[in-house]
Amino acid sequence: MAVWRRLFANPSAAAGLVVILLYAFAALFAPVIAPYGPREMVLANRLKPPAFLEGGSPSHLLGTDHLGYDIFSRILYGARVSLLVGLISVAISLVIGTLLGCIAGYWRGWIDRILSRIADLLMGFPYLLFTIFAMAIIGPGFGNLIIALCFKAWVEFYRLARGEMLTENTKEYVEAARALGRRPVAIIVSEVLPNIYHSLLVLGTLRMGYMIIMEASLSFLGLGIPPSIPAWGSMVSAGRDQMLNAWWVATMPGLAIVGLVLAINLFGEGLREALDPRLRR
Amino acid sequence: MSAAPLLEVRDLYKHFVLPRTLLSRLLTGQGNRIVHAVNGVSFVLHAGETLGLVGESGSGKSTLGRTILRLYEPTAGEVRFDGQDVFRLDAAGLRRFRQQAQIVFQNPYASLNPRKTVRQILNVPLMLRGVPKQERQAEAAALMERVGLAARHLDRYPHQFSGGQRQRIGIARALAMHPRLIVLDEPVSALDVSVQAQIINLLEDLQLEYRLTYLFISHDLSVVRHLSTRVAVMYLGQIVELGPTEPLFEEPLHPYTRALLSAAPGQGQRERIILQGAPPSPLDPPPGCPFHPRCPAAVGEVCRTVRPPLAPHPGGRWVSCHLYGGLAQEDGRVASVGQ
Amino acid sequence: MEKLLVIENLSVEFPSPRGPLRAVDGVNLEVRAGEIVGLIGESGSGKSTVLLAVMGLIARPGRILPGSSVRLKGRELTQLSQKAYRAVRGYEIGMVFQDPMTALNPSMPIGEQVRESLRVHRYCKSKAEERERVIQLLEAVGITNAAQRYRAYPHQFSGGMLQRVLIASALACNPRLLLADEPTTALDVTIQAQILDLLKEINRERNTAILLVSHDIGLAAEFCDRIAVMYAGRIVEVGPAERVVNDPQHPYTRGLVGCLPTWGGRRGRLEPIPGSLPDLTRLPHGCAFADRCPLALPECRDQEIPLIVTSDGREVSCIRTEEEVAV
Repeated sequence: MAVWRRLFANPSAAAGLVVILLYAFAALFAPVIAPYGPREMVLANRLKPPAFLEGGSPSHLLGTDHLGYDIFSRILYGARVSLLVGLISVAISLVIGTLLGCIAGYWRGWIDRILSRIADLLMGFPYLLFTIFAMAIIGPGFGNLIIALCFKAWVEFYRLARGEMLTENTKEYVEAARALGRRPVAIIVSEVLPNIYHSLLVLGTLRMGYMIIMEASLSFLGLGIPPSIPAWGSMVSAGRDQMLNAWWVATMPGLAIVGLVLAINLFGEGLREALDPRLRR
Repeated sequence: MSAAPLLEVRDLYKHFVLPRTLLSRLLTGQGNRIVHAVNGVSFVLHAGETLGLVGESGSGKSTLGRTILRLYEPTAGEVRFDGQDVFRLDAAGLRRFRQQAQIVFQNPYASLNPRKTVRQILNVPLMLRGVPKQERQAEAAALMERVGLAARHLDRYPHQFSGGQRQRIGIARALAMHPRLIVLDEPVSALDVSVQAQIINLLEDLQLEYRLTYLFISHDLSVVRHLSTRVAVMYLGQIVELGPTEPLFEEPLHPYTRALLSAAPGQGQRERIILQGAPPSPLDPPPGCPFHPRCPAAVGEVCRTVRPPLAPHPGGRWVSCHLYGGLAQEDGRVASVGQ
Repeated sequence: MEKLLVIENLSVEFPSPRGPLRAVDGVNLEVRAGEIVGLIGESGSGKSTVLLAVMGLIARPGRILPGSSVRLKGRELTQLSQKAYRAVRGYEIGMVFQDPMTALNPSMPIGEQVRESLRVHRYCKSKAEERERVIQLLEAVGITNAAQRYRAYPHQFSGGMLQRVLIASALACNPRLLLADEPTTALDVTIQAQILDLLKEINRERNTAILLVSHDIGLAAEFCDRIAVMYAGRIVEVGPAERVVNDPQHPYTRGLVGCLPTWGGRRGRLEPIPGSLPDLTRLPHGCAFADRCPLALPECRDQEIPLIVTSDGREVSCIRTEEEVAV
């Protein structure tokens, strides 16, 4: 499609996509690529510097942390957590938000009023605080983390979907579908959705970076992912005490986070630009 | 025509409420504002006819067309299609009604889904009509050819067609339902004159071939005169005159019709009747006859207070004006056209 | 009658992805003092572009080609600087545009907007005089209570009233020529009649010439003294309004009139013009209408078509004019 062509003409978007794919590849094949297991502790090798620094060795590319874990391996495994959490929570929020937004936008009336009030209420809370609060209530765990993240995230998709639905509803092609006698659900899914999904997709892509940072923040604080599973945020947290003597312990996972989120944002921006002019025909 | 009419409209009203915020209501002491778009319309339409609906902006003609199709729920009144009460139909009945009564829109650029191919657009009415999947290709192709487009363009998107071609697609879509009645809402207003002519010819041919009944809404008097068997003139949500086309155009009865025809270019060298005052707003229709504030022939008290009914006139014509009813004669003014 | 506006060999080009697009191609047109001339055409005919060229409003990257000439009272306009042109616009030439709702500034009172023209061209000696003149103008265009209405805002007026305000603004400095681009298209029929009558009155009383652009040949027939019909950037027929419409000579004009429900096939079939506009980036050397013309000859496509002057004072761009053709 012309969209892909335009997307790849944009160098930063293309670069972003490549990086994302690299991370995905790393996450997928972590057990194969990683030189060490995620919980392989060799206390004798603790706090070894990365290979490119003095004192480092190729056996630990990015060094080891205070417990002797190989940082490179843990970063690879950590990618799984981040990507999974990012993808799943965005997917769920998008679906829920779109569904509710379309319902509110099409039928209006009391259902619109109630949903929009709820949305406004949720929007009032700062995201991190809210998620921490939610985690504190429902407890730690992978599934619970995703629930907590989605709890507020759907509101953005709801707003966007509702807004788009309101706009499209006034357009004549929708009126034409009604005049033909199409059922409302058919109109929403078959007529309107193909015209609005792209902006939702762009929002989803951009939000994913945010979700990953949220996940990292939560695991940094010790909430969310159980400590036995390697996650970038908890790695950064653990490395805080070593900042002066072994800076790489905290910095490497931090860079991993930055790298992925940056790549996602670049790709998302590129996607938005590629889709936009096509719409302004 | 002695057969039962295809469409009967009785005392139809459609008001839109423009809600005022609570604050505004407290400050101004007024309630919600109401747009009296359709303000008491009655007429019948017989099978095979073309009824032209003319009026200027604010006349309510588009709203009338849509309300008849129940694209808007009415405020009051009744519409009977083939004897059935349209506003009392349940969901299934409504779908059946929609299959028989279709609409073609004014804007060829907005009435087609930009993300669908023509094939997909035509697929919807075919599917709703119950055409089995295998036959849809053949039917869609036949429809395209019938409206003057090439079947091989079925897989193109609307933006790849010109305005006139898109309008043809819109007509094909309406036709695909095999309707009996088609409401045409300014179908050629957005098109160039030469394209207009093509579409008008197409509509004429289709009417003969498929035995269609048209409700043709337009502000363009010459097009209406060309296509219609009867014409209804609307003003501020009401029909002020109704009757067979040529007599209405040759000898208009209602003062508004006279002014309208005198203003339109090309309707013969009539003496120009200039209307004073501003065009009306359906937000605040005047009491009595809606036209009285601007009417050059207003007789006085009765025009200001009593709304003239749509009364019959010889020759199958109807006029809503006190000059032609008994009420006016009390003031000493005699109705001009002979009985 | 003196020749007020003389357009000679006007050509305007716009760059496009497929090559330069010739919107106006070698147009010759005159407007004499006090005359009403209609420039008629469908979309893509180039009529609006001609007006823009006269006003000096062809924005880059579009350009007026060398060899084109637009002379107002003998003065060449195409070479004027933007600054010099600004002195012409509003002062010697007044403009009335299509959509009155968007042509006026919604946040300025209408009186001030009409005054703008007077102020810029220093027409009056004092502010008080400007204000006085504005009120006179508003009354002249039929706005009652002009003194109070001076301070009203555009949203308080209807479309027809706004168009009157625009006309007042265009007439402020008493220009000899008024350019009107589809001034009534956005208005209801009855209002349209009022506005056209107003323009006719202005033409009679002030001897202001009007160049009207429209797609509505019926309107032009009633309103204009002369009509010029445009097709694909070229003028195909010029002549007295009534004659052009009742006895069109050029096949395109005939086709156009044949399309109209009133003049053409009333109660009969309309005769649309087959085919569609030619590609304006690849205009043929010969007649641009040849591919759609029922009378086309092989010569029509090859040679440049001269302007033939007919016995009743018309100019027709067709080599088969004045033949005894069984139509």
